[in-house]
Amino acid sequence: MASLLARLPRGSVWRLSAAMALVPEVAPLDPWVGLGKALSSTSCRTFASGALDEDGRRLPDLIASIPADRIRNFSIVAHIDHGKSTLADRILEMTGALAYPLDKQSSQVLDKLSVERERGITVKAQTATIVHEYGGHAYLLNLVDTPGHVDFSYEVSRSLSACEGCVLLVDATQGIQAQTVSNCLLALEEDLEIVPAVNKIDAPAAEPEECARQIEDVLGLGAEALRVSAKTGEGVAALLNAVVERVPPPRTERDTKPFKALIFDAHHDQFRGVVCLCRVVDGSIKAGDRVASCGTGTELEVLEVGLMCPEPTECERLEGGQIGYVVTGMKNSADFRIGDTLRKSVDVGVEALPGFKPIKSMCFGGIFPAATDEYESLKRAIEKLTLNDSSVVVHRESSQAMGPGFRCGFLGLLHMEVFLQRLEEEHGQSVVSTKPFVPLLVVEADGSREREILSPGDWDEVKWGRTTRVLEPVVLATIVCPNTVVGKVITLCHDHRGTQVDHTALGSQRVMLRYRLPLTELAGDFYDSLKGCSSGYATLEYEEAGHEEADLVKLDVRVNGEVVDSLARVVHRDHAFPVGKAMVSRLKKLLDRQAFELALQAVVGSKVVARETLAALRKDVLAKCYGGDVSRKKKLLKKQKEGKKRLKSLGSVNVPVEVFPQLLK
Amino acid sequence: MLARGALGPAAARGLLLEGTRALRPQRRVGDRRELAARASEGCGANDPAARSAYVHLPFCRRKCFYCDFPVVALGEGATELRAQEPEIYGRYVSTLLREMEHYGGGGKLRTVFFGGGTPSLIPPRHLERVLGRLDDAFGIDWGNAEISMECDPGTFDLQRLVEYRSLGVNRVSVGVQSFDGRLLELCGRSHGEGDVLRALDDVRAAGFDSWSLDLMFGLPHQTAESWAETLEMAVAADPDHVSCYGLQLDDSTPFARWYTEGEGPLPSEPLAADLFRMASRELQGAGYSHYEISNYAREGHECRHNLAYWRDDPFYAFGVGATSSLHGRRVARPKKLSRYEQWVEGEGRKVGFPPPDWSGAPLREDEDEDERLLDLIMLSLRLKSGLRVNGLNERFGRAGRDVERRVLAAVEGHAAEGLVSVSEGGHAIRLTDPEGLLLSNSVISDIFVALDDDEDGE
Repeated sequence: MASLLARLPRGSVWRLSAAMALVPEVAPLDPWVGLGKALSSTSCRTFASGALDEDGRRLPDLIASIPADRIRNFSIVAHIDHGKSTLADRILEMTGALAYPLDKQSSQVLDKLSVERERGITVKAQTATIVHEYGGHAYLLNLVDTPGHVDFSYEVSRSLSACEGCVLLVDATQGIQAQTVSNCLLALEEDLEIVPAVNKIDAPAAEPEECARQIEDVLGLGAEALRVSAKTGEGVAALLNAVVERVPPPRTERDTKPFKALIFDAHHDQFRGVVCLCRVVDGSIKAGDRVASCGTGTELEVLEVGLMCPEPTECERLEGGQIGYVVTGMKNSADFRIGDTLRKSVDVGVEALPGFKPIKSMCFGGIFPAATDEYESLKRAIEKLTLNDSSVVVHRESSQAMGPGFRCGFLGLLHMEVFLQRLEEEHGQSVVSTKPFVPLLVVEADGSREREILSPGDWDEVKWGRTTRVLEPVVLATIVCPNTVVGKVITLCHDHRGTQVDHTALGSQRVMLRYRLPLTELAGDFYDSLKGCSSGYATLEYEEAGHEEADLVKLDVRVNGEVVDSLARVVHRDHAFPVGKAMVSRLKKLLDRQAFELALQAVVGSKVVARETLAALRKDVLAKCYGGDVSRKKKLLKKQKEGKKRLKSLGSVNVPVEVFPQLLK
Repeated sequence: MLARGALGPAAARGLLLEGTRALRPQRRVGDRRELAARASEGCGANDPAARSAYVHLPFCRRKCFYCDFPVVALGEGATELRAQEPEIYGRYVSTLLREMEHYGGGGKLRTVFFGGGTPSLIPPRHLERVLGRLDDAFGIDWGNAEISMECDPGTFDLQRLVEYRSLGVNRVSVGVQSFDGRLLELCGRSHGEGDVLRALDDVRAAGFDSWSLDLMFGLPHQTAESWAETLEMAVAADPDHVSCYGLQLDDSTPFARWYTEGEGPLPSEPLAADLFRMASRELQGAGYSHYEISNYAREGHECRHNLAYWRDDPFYAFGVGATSSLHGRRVARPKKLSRYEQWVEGEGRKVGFPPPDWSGAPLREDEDEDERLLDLIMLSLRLKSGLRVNGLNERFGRAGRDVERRVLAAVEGHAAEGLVSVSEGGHAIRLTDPEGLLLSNSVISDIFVALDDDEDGE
């Protein structure tokens, strides 16, 4: 459904035209740069809100006339590239939500955020309301999209909790993959009706029977998997019918109970403030009502309510069972959090829906401007990005080596990567980031004191008692890989301190492994190594699995005796030597020689675990100024100058900033 | 000047001086007026402040393995003295003269430098044409001018030198590079030690006002012993001037493909630094002043032409790949001969010789000024006299920028390290010899950084 992103004028100006239709207009300063690009007012080709159905009714009127028992709220969950977006496109076409079929040019691929395209994930969810005819009646189907990665599993679970059912889509040429399993588990946790479907049945390599059998055996889903081809449209109508038949209608009290809604997504619009996507549980809401957040207590007036058709289409009211948007003019997205419950200000007694969790950062990273004079512009860029993603926690930080910067908390490792990439691509920032740090817990044996360590700098062993224990977060990882590489995958997991939990055959060719792994072990090259040792076939997904005690040590790097704060790490005791060795030899390779000799040491406590020496620089190039041509020499000097301008200091040594990303790897 | 030919088998030493003529060009007043008129059609490319002219003569018998200068390699036959001369000389000189047609007027030239290539391959009559045209266009201050040319052992004999001298050439720079025959061979030079000794005898016999012996260090397989011996022999040859350039690996050269900086068979970095220190010590001990990072001279024998570069004075330049500096702009001519010829005949003629990549938009004045400042710093710090800090604000301190303070602040640390010496009151700075000179890039780039900061320091 990421395909919808570009067609939804998220950050665009909304104007009320004479025909009561919302006309999107491109806003050049839109923080959703990636979305705005493909959008122009002429390229919107949807079933516009001003259009009329056969009976001459406007779409919002038609929707308003559909009773709650003919509403179906569902989402599609699938592993990456199993065809979720294509299926969503097809559904929109078939239900007339899109005026005519999408051609290749305008289809999903072009429209995604570049980070999404590169990584094959959906970062932000989207939602569409469509009308489907079944058995002579108009049914209102709300297709709720989910973000596609475990880092956003909280958002996924919130999106799912806005639904009564989901389509579990599996690629017939790939079979069940790691993300299929984890999504399925999440859906079961939310007690959703699962409609399994096997996709890509038109593909030559498709094995729909085998795939359906896996769905039954491995996932234990009793229902018969439907056969579809999202590409050709085959079976999609039957799938929609199955959604109507199998997914229960929402249970709602529109008239007797006070208004209550679940915020399952929110985004920031430059001109209208935060726009919340809500599932109305009970009651109804209209423009002019005052609403409050159960979580934060923030009170605001509703400026507009509407449906995603899939263009935002204003309507008179949102009622129980419906899914739509609410605009309040709120400026700070942190005021209304995803998962929060919305009530009317007057209904003080309304209880919050269960499941709301405050944001919990799973990893932290230092983010510093590449040049000190870029601090202000980095600050502005981070502010803009966090408007749209309030799950990022931002603190100011000043490092002795890197100067002023930020320490940011993220939902997970990928979340951090995506954030950094967007800083760079959408805001043109060149940053140096530290290796992600997974927060640790320091507890006394008697449980008397508990403290969180958010960065290696917080590590203060001196103050700890003898009974102090350090706990690190662990995850339960699901890995699906071909039989032939299972040995390598197991070795990889063991090298990363994993313990096996499960080992299940998926048919005759593939295996599903489940491992408990320290989250921090996934922060490095684990994913790349996994892809590498399986020729790209292995898939990985993981979920949080609490904390476990670990024998960790702080590894410092000293340059000429001085500790370099930004290079400190916390590693497992057994890894201290190889990691330290690798760090100092990398330092040696990357550092320019100085006028004096440099000692490079990796240290645990007061014990040196590895050392290297970098010889002193003895001479520059004594370039000749030939025939008055100073340009070459000047170019060399200017290059040196540029390098020096971006120097960060490592103790007494100045280091070109370009070196840092590699040092911090 | 770093490409040399070898003396052919027919090398004749001690040829009779008969047949040499007084070749000093006669001034032709009519020509001059005509040239000046033509020049005014262009954009007045002559700079009245310029008193120096560089002329590039690109021909070599073969290209040395380390050389990436604009050079036209002619093959073995080219050095046969008195043999049939290649036609290309005449054609090239004609192109040179056409380039000069665009200039005229201004003050008389005080220095002329023929560099290459191997200028000593060019027969005297062609050199006469060039000098004649320079004299017509600008005038040459014959009584005081320094007229230098580069000469390579094996490409000239005494008679040839006397002919050059009779044209007005009063300084030669002899590309010896090394007295170690094995090293010469490794560098792709085919003159041997014997050629070198004969050449030096001829140079001394020809009686130039001043002559330079040019050496290179940091060559493959070079040892401290070999360099000590070369320095000793250089001093024994009793030149007025010695150049010592360190080998530099330039990308397009065979050396760059074969070798890595600081790795065998090239000297290690500490050894290369020692070679520089040895030269500084030995040559200064023998009475030569280390007046520029790579140059040593007896008093009064500094190369005035090169000093003009290092003092950032304006100068003309002619020929393939040559760079001029006029009106505060450096203009590099195309490096390929065919492109250069086209340029002289075509676009260059029309637009009055702006840089080949010039878009037509004038440079911003302040940008231009900043570039001049960087040039001045970079060039002055090559010299023993150093950089005069006093007065920089007056010339470059636009918008209240305190250039002087920034320069002094940038070298403060280096002064403590002993790389820079600051004169009393901070009026001037210079790099110390040899340690500061060895790390000149580090120091200069620090000054560049200090000048580049947006805010005016702390």
